[in-house]
Amino acid sequence: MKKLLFLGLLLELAACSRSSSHEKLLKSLQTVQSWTATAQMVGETWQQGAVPDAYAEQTLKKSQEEIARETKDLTEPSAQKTQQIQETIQKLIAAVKHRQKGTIAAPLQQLSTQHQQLNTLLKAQEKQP
Amino acid sequence: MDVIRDVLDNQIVDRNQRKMGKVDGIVIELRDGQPPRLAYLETGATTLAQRLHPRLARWVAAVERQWGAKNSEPYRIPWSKIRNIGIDVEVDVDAEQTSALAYEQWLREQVIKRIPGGS
Amino acid sequence: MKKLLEIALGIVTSIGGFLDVGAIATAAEAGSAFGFHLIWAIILGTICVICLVEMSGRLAAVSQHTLADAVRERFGFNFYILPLVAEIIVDFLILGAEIGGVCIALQLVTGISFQWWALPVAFAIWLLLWKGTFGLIENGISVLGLVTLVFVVATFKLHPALPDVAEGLLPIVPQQDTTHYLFIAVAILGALISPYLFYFYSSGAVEDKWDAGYLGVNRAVAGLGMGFGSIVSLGVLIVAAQVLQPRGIQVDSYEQAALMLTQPFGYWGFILFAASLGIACFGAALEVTLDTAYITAQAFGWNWGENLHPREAARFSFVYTVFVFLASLLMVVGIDPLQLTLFSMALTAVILPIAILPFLVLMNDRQYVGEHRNGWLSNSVVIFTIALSFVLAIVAIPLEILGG
Repeated sequence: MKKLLFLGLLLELAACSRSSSHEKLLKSLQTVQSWTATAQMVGETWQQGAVPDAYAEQTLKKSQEEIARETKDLTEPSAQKTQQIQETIQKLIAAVKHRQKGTIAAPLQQLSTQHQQLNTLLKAQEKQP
Repeated sequence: MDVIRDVLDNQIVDRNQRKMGKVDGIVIELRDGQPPRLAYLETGATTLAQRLHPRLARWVAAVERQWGAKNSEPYRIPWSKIRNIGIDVEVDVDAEQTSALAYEQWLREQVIKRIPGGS
Repeated sequence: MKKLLEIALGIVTSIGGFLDVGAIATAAEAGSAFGFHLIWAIILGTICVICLVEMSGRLAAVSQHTLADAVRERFGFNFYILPLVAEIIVDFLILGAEIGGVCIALQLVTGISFQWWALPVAFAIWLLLWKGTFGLIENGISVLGLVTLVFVVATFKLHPALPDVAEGLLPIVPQQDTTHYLFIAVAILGALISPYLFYFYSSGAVEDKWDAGYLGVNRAVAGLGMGFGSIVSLGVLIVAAQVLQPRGIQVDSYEQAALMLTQPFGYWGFILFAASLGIACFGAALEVTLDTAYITAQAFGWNWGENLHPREAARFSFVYTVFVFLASLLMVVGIDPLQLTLFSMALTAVILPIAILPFLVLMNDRQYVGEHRNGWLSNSVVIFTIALSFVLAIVAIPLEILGG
């Protein structure tokens, strides 16, 4: 009886840690998603001239850093996606740095596509128990 | 009059309505063969600390002896000086002349007046 | 006529002064993460704060005591030391967060990092307290605070779906992110029901020499002022829910919140967000700093009053001088302002029972308020809200910290 209880406890613990690692993964993906959306909105509003240059540059850099921090906890294929997102944000930063409103359209389009792909990944993860 | 309810922890003001501390303690004199008599009001950080813990009181006294106005003695006001007990306890003294304001005066002279706009 | 003017002025200052760093941050976080689902927490917190502010004004008008004076007198110093210490600790963190809010606003506009602004901002706060009078601080800053009404205007421009907004009035706990939901609910309640507000309000009523003739003014100002003020808070939540949530932006830092007005107003929206944040936090920082000096001076019976010259209230002036510069150090060392805000708001919810329950006892004590005692309704509202906030805080804070 005691052994059974012990076994049950062990199983419980294992289940717990597995679900918590899955939760952690979900949380990381959600954070990446939120900061990707932020970078996208900053890029768009900067293009429209609705935010100052310094703010846009700082916030894009911050998005990139936050995404990089979460990427460490991710596995494939999500890690690859977030890597691409960081690279695209780098292009946005370059456009803002050189104050070239014309050159930001292409990477913004790219980011929008990558954001959608990330959302698909996130949805798939959320469906897993 | 209920001494604890109406007097202890009330605001003390002097004859010019100047705030000079709270009633932090009440000193009662025990006399042989006669009923005890209300002797003094006490105000000061040491009295207050004594109510929380004796060790804290020793510590506060040590700090006060070392720093600032170097005054660790609580100020005592004889019961006979009390003029009126209402929302505040009004006493017939001039607060600026007493040691109750030792730290107020020390801070005023040594710190506040030296900051531009403070004098 | 004079009374009407005073009511009008009181309402204006309440609206202007309602928002602070906590209200903005919690409402933005709630709207961006959970849409309209936390509207109930703002409504509940507002009803409770209306009751409490009315009470503290009534206590001051009828008994001529500030709240701090009365609590020490009624319960003795050995009890009063607990709420005093708790309030000073929470004030310290909140002041750090308010200074952070002003610094972030300056960072948004100038691009210079918020850490550099902390000491200049602390100096500006100190200078106003050192040179200014109570009227200047209460009225001047709060009138500027009317800029926060921009969130209400934005709400109308964005046409939120009313049935969805109405649904938010019902507290429904979501399946996902339950702990975060509860934590934000706690933070909203803590942000709205800030004890510094009542201590400050009662000290202000005594500084303005209120008597029993002011009871009507007090009731109108508390009810209408706080009521209208909370509309601004609701505005922040609704705008965040309309602009940020559909894009998937969850507010983890103020830079993200700063985007919420660009959709309805473009570049001016960005500037108005920074202005609202900066002015609201600056006003609140003045209040929190003064509040700490008030309750300390009142605890020990020192001379106090913002209308006094610093040399007439040396210890009082010394306390706010030291306090405001110490709190600004929280920002100098670079603690994240938004995290500090959310944490200190949740902590406020924990200390609510110890700060509010003695207050309730006083408001039912004939010795202090005579025939103007509390009715059963305000007693129940306050007890219910305080109990709910406290229980939620005890449950949600450890979970939130464990969950990272």
